[in-house]
Amino acid sequence: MCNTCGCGNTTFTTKHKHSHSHEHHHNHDEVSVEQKILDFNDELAHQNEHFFHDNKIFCLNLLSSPGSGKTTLLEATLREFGDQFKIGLVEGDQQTDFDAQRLMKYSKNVTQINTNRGCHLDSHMIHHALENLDLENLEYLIVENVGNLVCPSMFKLGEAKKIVILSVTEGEDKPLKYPNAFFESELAIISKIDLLPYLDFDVEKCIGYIKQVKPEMKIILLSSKTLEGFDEWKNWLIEEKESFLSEAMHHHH
Amino acid sequence: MHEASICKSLLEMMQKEKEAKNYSKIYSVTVETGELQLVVPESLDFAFQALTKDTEFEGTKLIQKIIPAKAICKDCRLEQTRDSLYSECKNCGSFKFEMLSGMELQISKMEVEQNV
Ligand SMILES: Nc1nc2c(ncn2[C@@H]2O[C@H](COP(=O)(O)OP(=O)(O)OP(=O)(O)O)[C@@H](O)[C@H]2O)c(=O)[nH]1
Ligand SMILES: [Mg+2]
Ligand SMILES: [Zn+2]
Repeated sequence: MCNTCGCGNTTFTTKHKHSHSHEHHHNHDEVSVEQKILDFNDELAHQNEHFFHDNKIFCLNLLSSPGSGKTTLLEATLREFGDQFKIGLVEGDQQTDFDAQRLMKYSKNVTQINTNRGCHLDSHMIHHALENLDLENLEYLIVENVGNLVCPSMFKLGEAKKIVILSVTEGEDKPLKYPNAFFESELAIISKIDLLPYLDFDVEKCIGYIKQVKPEMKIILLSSKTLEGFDEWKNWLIEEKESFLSEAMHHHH
Repeated sequence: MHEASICKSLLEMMQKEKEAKNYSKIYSVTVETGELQLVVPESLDFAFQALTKDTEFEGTKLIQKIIPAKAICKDCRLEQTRDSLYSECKNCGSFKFEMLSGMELQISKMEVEQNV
């Protein structure tokens, strides 16, 4: 049983089978409730967010379809600036710890969550994943969500920002096919741009579609193979963490 | 697929309400879903049937209401309905909107039996 989140798997009581069949007259009332269904997740996400504020940890939630290059981006990020930033990583997959293993070549501060049948991470999983990380002086916590452009965008984890990644091999129409993930994110990364010469991917069209869903979206084009675009990615990480910190300083509850 | 976890949250809430207000039975629960929210009514219904089987909520009716998406254009201030998160302003063609509704996911009411 967890004290903070009060978990202890809720079970529903089994219905009693009544042998008698007579009907009583009862007070049959309509009551208004007005409660958000994901309140439980949102409240715990809010607690995580407070924890990140208080400990000056800039938390990012990476959303994308399977195979768009999330882990490869994180590998290159650790390799290129892992000695300059203190980064902790949470890897979300349905099964296996392959992705965590890949990242452990570059950092000890990695933990894997397996969601099994679940298609997304939730705030409760993140809350417990923090137990497996070294949080001392941590600057960034990057969460690689389960590869899925639909469900993860509905479940807040406590992140400061969501990042959506779209690789050029997926086609430029994804922002319109899966608008919610783009709508919820503040940075869109167009990945694997080293492959552009081999594809018919229309970059301008893709950017246009992204801006249709989210006119103010920041967009970075990059390749984790050639490292093109990595300066911009690094600057984004630095600048956004700075503004997160100054917001956290002026943010009182 | 996420409808199952949404349904679990819904059932947890129903159970909490039932205990807190001391209802002896919940006949029906009305869920309001925004038109642009990522919930498929049929999948939620299916999850509800599957997860309530052999529980205290077997037989409780799930009523789903779809809330139309409404937004105000940030450029020309026209209030309008939206068919998608990427549709343009019907008046000025802008894509900058302030969403007013269409992203809900909430319980609005229940029909209950009060313990007297
Ligand atoms: N050419 C090229 N290939 C890339 C790049 N980034 C990733 N890849 C390849 O794309 C494949 C998938 O990359 P991953 O990093 O495992 O993708 P992912 O998003 O973490 O996948 P899941 O965690 O399974 O959803 C691998 O074969 C990578 O080598 C890139 O920038 N350029
Ligand atoms: Mg991965
Ligand atoms: Zn307008």
